[in-house]
Amino acid sequence: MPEHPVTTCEQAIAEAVACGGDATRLESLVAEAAAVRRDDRLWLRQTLVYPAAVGVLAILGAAWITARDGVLIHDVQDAFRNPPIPTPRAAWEAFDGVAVSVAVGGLLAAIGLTAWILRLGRRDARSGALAVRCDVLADLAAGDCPVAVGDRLACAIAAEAHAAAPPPALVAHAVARDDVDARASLLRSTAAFYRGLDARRRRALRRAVPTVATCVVGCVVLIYGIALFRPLVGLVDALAAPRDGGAVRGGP
Amino acid sequence: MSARDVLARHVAAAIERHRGVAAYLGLVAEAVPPHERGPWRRMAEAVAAGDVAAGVEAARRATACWIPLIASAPGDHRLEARILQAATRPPRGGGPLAALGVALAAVTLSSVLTLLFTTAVLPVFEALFDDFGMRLPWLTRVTLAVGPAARRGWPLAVAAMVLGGLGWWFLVRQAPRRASAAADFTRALARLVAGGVAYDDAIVLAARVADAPPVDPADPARPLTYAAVAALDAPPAAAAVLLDAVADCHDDRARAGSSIGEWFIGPLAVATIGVLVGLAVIALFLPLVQVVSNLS
Repeated sequence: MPEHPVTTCEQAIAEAVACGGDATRLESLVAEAAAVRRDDRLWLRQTLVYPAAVGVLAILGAAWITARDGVLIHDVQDAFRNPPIPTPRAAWEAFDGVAVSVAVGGLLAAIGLTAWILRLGRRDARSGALAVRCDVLADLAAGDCPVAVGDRLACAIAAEAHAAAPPPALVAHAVARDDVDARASLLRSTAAFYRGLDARRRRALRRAVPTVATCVVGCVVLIYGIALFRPLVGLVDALAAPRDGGAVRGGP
Repeated sequence: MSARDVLARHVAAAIERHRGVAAYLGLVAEAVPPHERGPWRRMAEAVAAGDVAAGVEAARRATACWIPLIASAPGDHRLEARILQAATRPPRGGGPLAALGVALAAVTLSSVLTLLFTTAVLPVFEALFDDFGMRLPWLTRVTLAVGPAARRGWPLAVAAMVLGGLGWWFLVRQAPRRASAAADFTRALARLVAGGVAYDDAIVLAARVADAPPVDPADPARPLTYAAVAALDAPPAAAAVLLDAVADCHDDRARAGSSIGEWFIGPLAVATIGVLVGLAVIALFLPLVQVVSNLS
């Protein structure tokens, strides 16, 4: 039978059980927290697949068009090489600035979206870890485990890097209760509070991310559109220009 | 006695009973999301200072935060748990102005984009097509006609957009909030009844929580439902349990309504905007493609 190394969390659960904790409850707390994290990661991947695919295609397309200098209409341009067409493109010069502005805007929006998702995700993870930590502390308080030992074990079971930090003042207040029953009860209420915050942030994120991602991808597709049509527009503008003056002054 | 007097009397009594909980309220204020801290901070400051006037003002702006204090006896060991419970419940919709704010933001954004499109983009294409003197496809003619029409009839367009925004605000305020307002009202009523507050006062305070006009139990109207009135016939402890169950039902309805709205509005908006933008792009670039292919 293959052996696997004992993790810090499993070791902490074993110690907690020795201190009077309920093994089944502690394991279910850890399993629930892990399931929520898995579900979040899966959802994020599924949500961002479509915008990411469209965005990557648009960026590749725009880069290709830019690198090849509008290769798509070179054949069309070749038809006008002799006599060469004049290229007064003053009316469309502004497109360069627009394209750059939109590109920078889209890039900034994408960076902002990523930073925002990461920030909310970290806060969710912290609230979720704090909820597990409070639940474990409540469980151990009911089993008469010393506060310091309970806090150490709760940190290990919550298994989050940021859960190892000193507890927030709200949790510290609950832990400082002298009466064991009151302490356990308040810790459970505090855990429910953090779990509620976690659920609310997750709902807000699930509402907002698809919309924001669609807007960012829309900007990227717009860049692609401008890059694709700019040479065509420039050519047509150049063809239109001789009718105003060039043809009269000595054109063909 | 007016609703404000009832609120002031209960807030004054709550401040007197629970001066010791001010520090905990401060901790809760630090723990909730930043945009929800204001009501909890004001409450903590009023309770710490024993300032009834500030407390009444704070309670007038966020009555829901004060329900645990009003509904708990001195020394009640469940008070802190009730405060946490109140802080966990999200403020639904952020009040009437939040829905109006979203509607106004959407109207402003669409107005700016329409203005940009009709004044900066369409005239350039119009001038380009005029240079060639070509016969334009009907889709292009329709699109180009939007510019002059928008320039001539912009007051009408702005009025239509404002009316649309107000209609949206009305729908947001009425449709999903009906169930959620009833849930908030009934939940607050349950807490107050369980805390021994007189039924008449409890109804007045719960109406403030739901941001609803005063309601009369003799002639029930939303957010006071017939089920809640029937529950109030029971003794306080049983009435609180029944009211909690009624509030759960309204909560479920509110959740179902909001999830349907979220499922429907987002994709519909994306599809509509996608179709409009696609049509505009085709309309403007179709003549250019025709010109180039004819010339080449």
